[in-house]
Amino acid sequence: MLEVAGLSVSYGAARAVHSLDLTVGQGEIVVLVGPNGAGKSSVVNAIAGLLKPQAGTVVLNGTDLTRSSPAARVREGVALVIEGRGVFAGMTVAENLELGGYSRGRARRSGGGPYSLPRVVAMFPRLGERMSQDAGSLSGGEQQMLVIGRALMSAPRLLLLDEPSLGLAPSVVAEIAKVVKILAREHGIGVLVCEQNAVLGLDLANRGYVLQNGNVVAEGSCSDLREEHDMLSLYLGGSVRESQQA
Amino acid sequence: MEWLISLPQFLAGGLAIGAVYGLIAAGFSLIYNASRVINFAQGQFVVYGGLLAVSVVGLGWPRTIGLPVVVVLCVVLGAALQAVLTTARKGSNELTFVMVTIGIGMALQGLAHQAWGTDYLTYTLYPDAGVRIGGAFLNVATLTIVAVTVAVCVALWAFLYRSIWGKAMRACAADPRVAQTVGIQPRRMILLAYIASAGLGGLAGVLVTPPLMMSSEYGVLLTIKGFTAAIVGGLTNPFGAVIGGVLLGLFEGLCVGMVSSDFQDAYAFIALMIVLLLRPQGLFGQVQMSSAR
Amino acid sequence: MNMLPPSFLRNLAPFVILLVLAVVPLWTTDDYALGVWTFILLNILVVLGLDLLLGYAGQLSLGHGAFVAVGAFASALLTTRAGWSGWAAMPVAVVLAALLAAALAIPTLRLRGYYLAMATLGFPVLFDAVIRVGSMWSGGASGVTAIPRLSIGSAVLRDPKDYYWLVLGFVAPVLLVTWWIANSRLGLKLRAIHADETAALSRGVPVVRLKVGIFVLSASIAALSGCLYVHQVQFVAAGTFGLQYSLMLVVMLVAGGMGRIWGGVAGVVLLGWLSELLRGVTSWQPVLFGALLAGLMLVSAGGVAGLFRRRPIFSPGPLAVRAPPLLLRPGVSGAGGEVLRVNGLLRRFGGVTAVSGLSLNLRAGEIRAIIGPNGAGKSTALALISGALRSEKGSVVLLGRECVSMTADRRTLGGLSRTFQHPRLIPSLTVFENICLGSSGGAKSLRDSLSTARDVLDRLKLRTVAQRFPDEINHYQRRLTEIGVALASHPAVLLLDEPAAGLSTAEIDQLAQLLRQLRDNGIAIILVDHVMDLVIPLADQILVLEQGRPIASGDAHSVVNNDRVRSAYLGEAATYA
Repeated sequence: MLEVAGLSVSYGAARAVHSLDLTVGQGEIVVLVGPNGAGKSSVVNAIAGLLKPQAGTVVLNGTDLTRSSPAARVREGVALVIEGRGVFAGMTVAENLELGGYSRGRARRSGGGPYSLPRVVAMFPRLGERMSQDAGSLSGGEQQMLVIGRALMSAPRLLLLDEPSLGLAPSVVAEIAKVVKILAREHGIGVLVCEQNAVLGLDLANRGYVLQNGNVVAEGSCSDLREEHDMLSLYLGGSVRESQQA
Repeated sequence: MEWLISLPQFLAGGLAIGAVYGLIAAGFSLIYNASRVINFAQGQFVVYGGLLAVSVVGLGWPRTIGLPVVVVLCVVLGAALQAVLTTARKGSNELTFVMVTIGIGMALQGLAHQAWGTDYLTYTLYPDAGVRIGGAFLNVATLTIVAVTVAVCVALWAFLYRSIWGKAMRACAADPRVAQTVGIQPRRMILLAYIASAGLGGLAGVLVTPPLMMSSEYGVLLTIKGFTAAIVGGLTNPFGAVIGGVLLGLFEGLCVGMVSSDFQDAYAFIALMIVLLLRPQGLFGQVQMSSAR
Repeated sequence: MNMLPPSFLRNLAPFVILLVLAVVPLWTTDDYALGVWTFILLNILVVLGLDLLLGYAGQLSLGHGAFVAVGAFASALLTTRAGWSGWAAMPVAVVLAALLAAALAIPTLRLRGYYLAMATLGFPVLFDAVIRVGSMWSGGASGVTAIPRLSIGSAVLRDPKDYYWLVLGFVAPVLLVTWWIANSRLGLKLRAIHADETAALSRGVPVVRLKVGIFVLSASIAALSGCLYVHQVQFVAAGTFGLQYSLMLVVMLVAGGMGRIWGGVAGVVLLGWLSELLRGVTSWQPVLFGALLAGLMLVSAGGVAGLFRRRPIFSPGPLAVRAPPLLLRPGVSGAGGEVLRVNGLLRRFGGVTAVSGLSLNLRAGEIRAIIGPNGAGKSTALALISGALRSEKGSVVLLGRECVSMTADRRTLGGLSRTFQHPRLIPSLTVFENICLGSSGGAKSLRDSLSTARDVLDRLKLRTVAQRFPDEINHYQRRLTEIGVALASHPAVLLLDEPAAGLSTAEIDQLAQLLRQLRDNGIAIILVDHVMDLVIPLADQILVLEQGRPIASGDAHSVVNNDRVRSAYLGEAATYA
């Protein structure tokens, strides 16, 4: 469904991503793991159109999005949840959700379809209780649900989640993981998750890519990655390997 | 104690112009929220609104058609201004945009000077009547302007809080990057802000010219006062800006009555400096910009 | 002083300008043209000051005409009403303008934004009102007349030629002073303020003080011009230096080219004569010049001077023969004494606690790393220590001095420098000039600043790119330059924010080597980074943050094996439905 080929992203003179290839299938959950600075955020921001890559193509269901504006990509079905959640502070939960459907028109937003406001709220009952609350005053977990719900309002085919577990307690993370799995399984949405927390990421997803310094150093099914790849040294350096052998 | 009796009248004297300041200030706020630009040409919308109204009425048009047309013309002017700003070369910073608005404001004032001269012009709109409320005489002009301003605020509120486009504008002001992720186009929101501001300014000009007259020279003064009002109310909050405008108008009326009318236009400047010294974020604003951090 | 040919030519330029201006009366035939040239000179005075303010420091003033008017009226009134001589009135008028300028600048320039611009639009309104209201003594709208001419000794200056040269006699020192400021370290600081106030602060530039100072200076020069004006024209009234005039000053500056000094001169000459040519259509001038201002700013903002590439002011000169000396802060021994003690720093944003309970002691020659998963508050921690953010409580003792309430620039001058995650170099300055900016804080002599900057340049092996601009060098070189800028202020403590981001393995090795050298020289380093291959071999001690709080501290081995640390990064195994 999503095909990214040869993606290269630079910030000024600094290369963040080197010629990366990845795919996400319909109903699949794919995770990008790796330490900070590995380039994960750059990848999803480039797919969403917020970053202009130096090279590479982004194709969704056969449509080449490489030169499309972010708004056009939203209309094609790309929904990005940025790192740190990105709620519209100063606006209510209801307004945030409604704005998720900005690209779809009022009828679709409030109608009865699967991505209308009532249905999305039904998926996240905690939000339903707080519709007129300022989104900035929600807890971290509630904000995360809000932005996922907001992303759903655009009837996405591809959902990009950047560090959804950041700063959240394990129980909250579990809830979110549950929702994400349902979205993939029952709605057929392709999900691409950036996750710094490798254990979480590999548990959540079907397939994964391990990124380091802008390069893919390993890829495969999550069970394979879990067993074969040394995650700890990815984060804490080669000296960990030494201390493990000691 | 005599001044206490005249107090309500002094305040009433500032009410109409205060509402006008409020409308200008709301325009500043909308543009600032959308694009972080201070539009130094803001006062020109009011001038053009007033002077075009004078001309249109002078041509014999019925007011019910002519005046709305004038407001529409001002809206077009606002859109044109924004279009010009988008032609700026890449890598332009805020100072560039601000200076462009200064240049355009200067040119617009010059054009108005050519078209209408520097005389104070007016036309008739309101009947000669009024009511006495609490010790002050409020004429129809003042009542109408206040009423329209209230109506505008209600409409603005409805737009910003009840329509999807207004919500999109607020979202853009809160976080333009995230706004893009839900399909909002910041460029369009900025255009909308300029159109709305120009409309507000034009409307203010149309309404305030009959009682208080309009001259092509007023543009800069109105810009300064509108900005002061926006600072008093809080630059980031359009409704706060309107309230700031009314407060500024009342302050002016008070000072004119109690101190002297000679310094009429200087009171706004004094108010600006006081606010900047004591509370730069204004009454309802949030961000305090500090150079030291 | 080392006079390389380019800087020799540059130093010559103001003299050339003065020479050209001096011979004008010799070939102008009629008095009217000479009068125009005299007005041009008077405007050059004002625009020179305005250029320092707007072109260099980037602060917008839309009411400089009011300061000209202050000078004009003060001088006019003192000479006509109080019988003073014109020469005695001048300094009084200038001081008055300076005081008013300070009163305007202090409340507005401590804020970021366009407050000064609006205040300078409003101040003329107040001044105008004062003049009109006080028309009994000020002449109001009808003005002050019969202002006496200036005289030298007993000779009254009547001849237009004499007057022209008198004004030129004032233009000369002002031109030389503004030229000197623009091409000195102060000029670097002003341009830094224009480009990036935060970065300027962290380089030790006292941003608010300089902004106010430059504004006051430019207002004083404007007032001087006003004084000279009234003694020639012998008349001034309330509307003489109105808004139109103030805006024209800006247009002239922009047309000629901001930030070049000679550009302002060119702009005044060009637009002065253009204005003359368009005398038949005076009323169209605002339209034309307003459109010109807008058009110029849209297209290039460089004006006439923008057609000529700007040359760097400072160059490193020949390569040093000897090895660069140790970069230790004078007065600090590298012997391992405590240089920094941080205790209990706290910072919240709204309801979120970004950092809490941050404490550490640092000794000379020690490298402390701060690590933690994303969102742990590492950058906030650095910002609190460097002064970019204010801590809500706690203390920061740097070299024995409490500085928790000091702004970033004072901490830099006190011996604590930092680099930023994304290098914040001043784009309009070369690599060497950026480093000079770092070495220019405090009261050092020019020679010391330059020699320190040269030493840093050579130490970091940046000689080959010294004359290039930040957008012309690669990422690693930019990183190094940033470190160089921080080193140039002789820090005892160096804060590095993710220096390894975006570097290749080889570059990381070189960086590690450099940091080791710095440590061996006695500089204490706090290093925030994710790249463990850099951090773990280098750090003497590591502090681990999670969600803003310290969770572990110790040497590399103990931290890496700490269960709490491991789970902070990798997450505890969670169960999913």
